[in-house]
Amino acid sequence: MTVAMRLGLFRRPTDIPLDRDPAARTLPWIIAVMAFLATIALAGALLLNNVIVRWSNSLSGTLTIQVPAASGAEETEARIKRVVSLLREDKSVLRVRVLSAAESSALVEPWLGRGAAAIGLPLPRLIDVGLAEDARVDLAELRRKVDAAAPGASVEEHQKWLDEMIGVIRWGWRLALVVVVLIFFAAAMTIVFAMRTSLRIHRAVTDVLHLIGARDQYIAEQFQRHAFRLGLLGGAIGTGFAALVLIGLERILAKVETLQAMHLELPVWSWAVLALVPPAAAALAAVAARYTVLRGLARMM
Amino acid sequence: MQGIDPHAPVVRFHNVGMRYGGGPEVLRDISFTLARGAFCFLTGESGAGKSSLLRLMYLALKPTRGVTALFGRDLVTVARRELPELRRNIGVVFQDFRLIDHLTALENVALPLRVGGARGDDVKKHVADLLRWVGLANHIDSYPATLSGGEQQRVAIARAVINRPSLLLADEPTGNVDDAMAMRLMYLFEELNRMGTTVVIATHNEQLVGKFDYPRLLLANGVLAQDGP
Repeated sequence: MTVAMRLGLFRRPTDIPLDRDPAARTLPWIIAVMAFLATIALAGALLLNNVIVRWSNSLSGTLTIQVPAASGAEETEARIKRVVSLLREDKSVLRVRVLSAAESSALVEPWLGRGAAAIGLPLPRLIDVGLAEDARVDLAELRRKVDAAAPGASVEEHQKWLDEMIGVIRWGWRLALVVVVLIFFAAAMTIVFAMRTSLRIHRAVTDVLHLIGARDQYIAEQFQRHAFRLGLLGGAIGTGFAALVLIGLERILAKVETLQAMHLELPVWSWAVLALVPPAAAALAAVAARYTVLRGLARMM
Repeated sequence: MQGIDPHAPVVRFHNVGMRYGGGPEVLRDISFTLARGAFCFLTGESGAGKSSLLRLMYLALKPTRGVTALFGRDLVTVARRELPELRRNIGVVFQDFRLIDHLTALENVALPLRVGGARGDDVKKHVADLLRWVGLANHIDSYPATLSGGEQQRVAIARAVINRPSLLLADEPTGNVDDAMAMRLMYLFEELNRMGTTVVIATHNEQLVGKFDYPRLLLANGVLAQDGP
């Protein structure tokens, strides 16, 4: 007795004893493996998409100005004030925020440990600058002014770095989607071969059905319903297991502080997308079965 | 689909020949016509071609040559998608019964009705009545494997006639039953025939043929030795 039968998915009797096929026993598990891989790959694609969106929103339209520590704390503060005042004169600048020494220290904490400032390391001070939407900033001119106000200060433009990073992540996202498509293709091929075998096994019954006046669609619908149930069952098993793995992985990643800034987390709505994998697997199985069986029957008398 | 002509002969074969693959012709120059309401026996020794001729009539095979027409439709002009409609007018009792093992007697007999789209309790009652008539009242919910050869044959006959087909083709339908049941089944076929069904019974039981005054198609070595009606 197959898992599907145990779960009562074959209560409606069919003319063709499809639940006794070897395929009925193995196909749900093959589909489960495919659904597991597809869910993981899809989750990867959704995660990377989330990273792209979060990074784009958080870093685009911003500049960071790094003011090196001067010979004294007062001189450093004076330089920062000069830079801030020249920034506030610029109409394309919406927001200027000077990070405190403690905040700057916290940023390097994962690499230098706690209290890097306390032991006298000359940490640079950072100024976070928000630009107006569609602002056109002459960076060369800004760099020249900032350098005049605070010698050695640098202007970091995130957009170029961001574009490159997003470009790389976007490739990863595309690759994940290609993997999902390939998995579904492989699943469809598996179902096609299973249904061909099944059609051969039940040739005697399909012949009788034909001879008493059954249309190809009547016979194909039985294979289609059968494949749909196996697909739904396999999809639910595979996706369920993948969901457990993803939840576990998310918890592990949440504990790694250095990765927190990367926003490696699945948005809530993406779980709804992942939940579509079992019905998609079932629909794919049903369509592949119907197509295969109709083609096979068309070759019969 | 083009409709069935009610006035055309139910079966018309003209110079029909048939071979399996590249082998010799198992049927040669077969010509006969069966009008609506005809009743005839198809006789001949084993290997004479009776089953092949029946297969041509129940649309399981195509002839290699010649004209075959059923219900006025030349089968050369019938598209594959139209075959189910024609087959629903034909009831077949297969020599090897061809019952579906995992279906009960009732479900097997109801199959032609289900295939035709019928559903509901009326179907069940109608099928159960017919099974009682063929002496299987106690085996309605039995599976074929638990039935004797004769009981399986009666289930097969019930399945063939449940639709009240226009053409009934039976291959050795009394081969596994005792004489009393054989006569009872023959009366069933006669009853159907009186209601307009054209009946062809393939048998090599000369004793049975002798009890009825119906014409016969006699096949010998793939050739019709004696024309029918």
